[in-house]
Amino acid sequence: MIMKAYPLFAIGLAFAMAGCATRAPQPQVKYVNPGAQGGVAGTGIESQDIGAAAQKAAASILALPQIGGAPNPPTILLTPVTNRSASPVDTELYTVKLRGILMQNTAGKVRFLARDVGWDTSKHEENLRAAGEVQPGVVRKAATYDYLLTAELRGISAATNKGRSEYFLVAFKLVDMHDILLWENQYEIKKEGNVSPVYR
Amino acid sequence: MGRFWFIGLAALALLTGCATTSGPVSASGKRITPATLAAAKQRVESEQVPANLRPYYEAMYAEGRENQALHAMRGGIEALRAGQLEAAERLFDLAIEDVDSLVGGEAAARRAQRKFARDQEKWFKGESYERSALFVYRGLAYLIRHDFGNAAACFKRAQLYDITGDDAPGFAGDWYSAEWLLAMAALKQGFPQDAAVALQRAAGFSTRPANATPPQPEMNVLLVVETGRGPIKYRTGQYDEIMRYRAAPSDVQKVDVFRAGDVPQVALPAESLWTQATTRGRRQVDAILAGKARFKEGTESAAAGLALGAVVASHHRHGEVATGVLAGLAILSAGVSAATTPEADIRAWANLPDKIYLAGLTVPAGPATLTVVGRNAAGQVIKQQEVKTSIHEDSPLAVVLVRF
Repeated sequence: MIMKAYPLFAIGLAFAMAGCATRAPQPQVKYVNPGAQGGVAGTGIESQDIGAAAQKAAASILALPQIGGAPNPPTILLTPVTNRSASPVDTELYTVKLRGILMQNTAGKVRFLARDVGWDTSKHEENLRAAGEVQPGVVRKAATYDYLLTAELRGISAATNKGRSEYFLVAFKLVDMHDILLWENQYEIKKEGNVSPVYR
Repeated sequence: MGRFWFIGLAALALLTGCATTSGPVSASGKRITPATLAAAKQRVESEQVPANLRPYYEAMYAEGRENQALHAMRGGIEALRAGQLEAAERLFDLAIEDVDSLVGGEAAARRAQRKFARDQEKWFKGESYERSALFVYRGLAYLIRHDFGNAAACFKRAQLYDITGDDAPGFAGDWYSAEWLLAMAALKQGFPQDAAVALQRAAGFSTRPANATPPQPEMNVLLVVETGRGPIKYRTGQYDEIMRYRAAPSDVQKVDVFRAGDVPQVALPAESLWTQATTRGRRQVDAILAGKARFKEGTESAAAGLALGAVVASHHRHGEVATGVLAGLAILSAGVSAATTPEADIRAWANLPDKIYLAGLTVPAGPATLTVVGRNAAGQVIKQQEVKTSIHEDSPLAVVLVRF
């Protein structure tokens, strides 16, 4: 009879010990598709959201007669993304991503001014040339733009003890040198998510 | 007498919780193996982490994802105070990744709801006041970078995370400091309308300080003074299933800032983290923990009853079978009770302050010395710090942090 009780004792002991002294989890790294939703997704704006909006914007801009039908490719200056939402974003990264997508999708029909890339270096080199410290090279005459493309992120966010809801509006504007608004388009993103009860 | 060892075992199982673990344990109470700890130290060494941040990084690397945000928050605020802006940004962003995520840590969160899993094994995302504080401090880091758009986004997000239970509806999204700082960021962005709306919202908060002075566009120095220690979490209840806060305020009750040749300015007592923590209302996780506690109590009572039955049975002639069955069930029930873990999660962002004071100043370009003074309730100076800074003419805002 005593022997028969051993399994019960073992079960009891196993329960009693459960949850004690386990090893801390180890870090893991894996490759994921940058255009896909992340494994730690929240309701904030993410890279794929900006990418999708930029692709739609590029197609829409190319459909403009002033752009798509221009005899010479017009030059566009893309200003940094303005964030007026409740979701912090890497605005520089998004600006670069936006320009990259627009370039891919406008294939030679539009030129982009990249003052953020070469301005300081070129200016420094110009000074060195003027001082005779380096060879004179060609006379520098920086290009100017025909159109200004702005992107603004706005949003409405709400949260309760059950979940979060966030609405984002990515608004693009194309303005010419005379401040005439040539084109404006908006892209909406809405995300909702529930919070686990253990965090409520 | 030979039969009584069953009952002894039952009593032992009833009284024994988890055995005390020797050696280092994580904030979740898990043992950290020497190999894991050594690997974490080696990684910190190879990454050349500054000495003051090493404890946070070592803990983060050794304790795994469930405590990443916890140590990132602690390390981030330490880095910000030490002027290590890049490190602060990196650590705060790591914490935000977990806090903002709804999907990440879902499996651990589901597990934490089970009877035999501890609440503290879920990914640490902090209580509402810790999540809001994370965005306030991240916003300050953006202000230092003059990235006013993202700073404003963080201050808005701080309000978003200030959720409350259904029993405390008036206290949701009532961080006065977040609105004040949002107004400052909006002014620096050139959006005075947004600033006015933020201050209008703040005027309706029960947490608003008296005689609050709004930020002005011409202010070029933001003084942030932290006092005391943030809310300390502790467990109470029959099975430690209830989480409560203990206050750890500073004796500093008023903060003034002086600049040579200028009138002293009173810093705004913009936030009490104690108030924010204790006005959160009922949490849903409390109901889960209460359920676990009831289950533990039930199985504990059952074990005691069964053990008693086994004792009674053992006194009867031919009662061996009954004694064995009852004692076995008592052991099983006691084992189940011992394995039930209703203890509340009391992991906390331990190096938060108790109060945050804010002051906006307009300082002429050039070197400047600010004298920040902390006074007790009687008005006596009990803390003083001189801050030497240099104001650049084209700099829209310099942020000065003082810790009392």
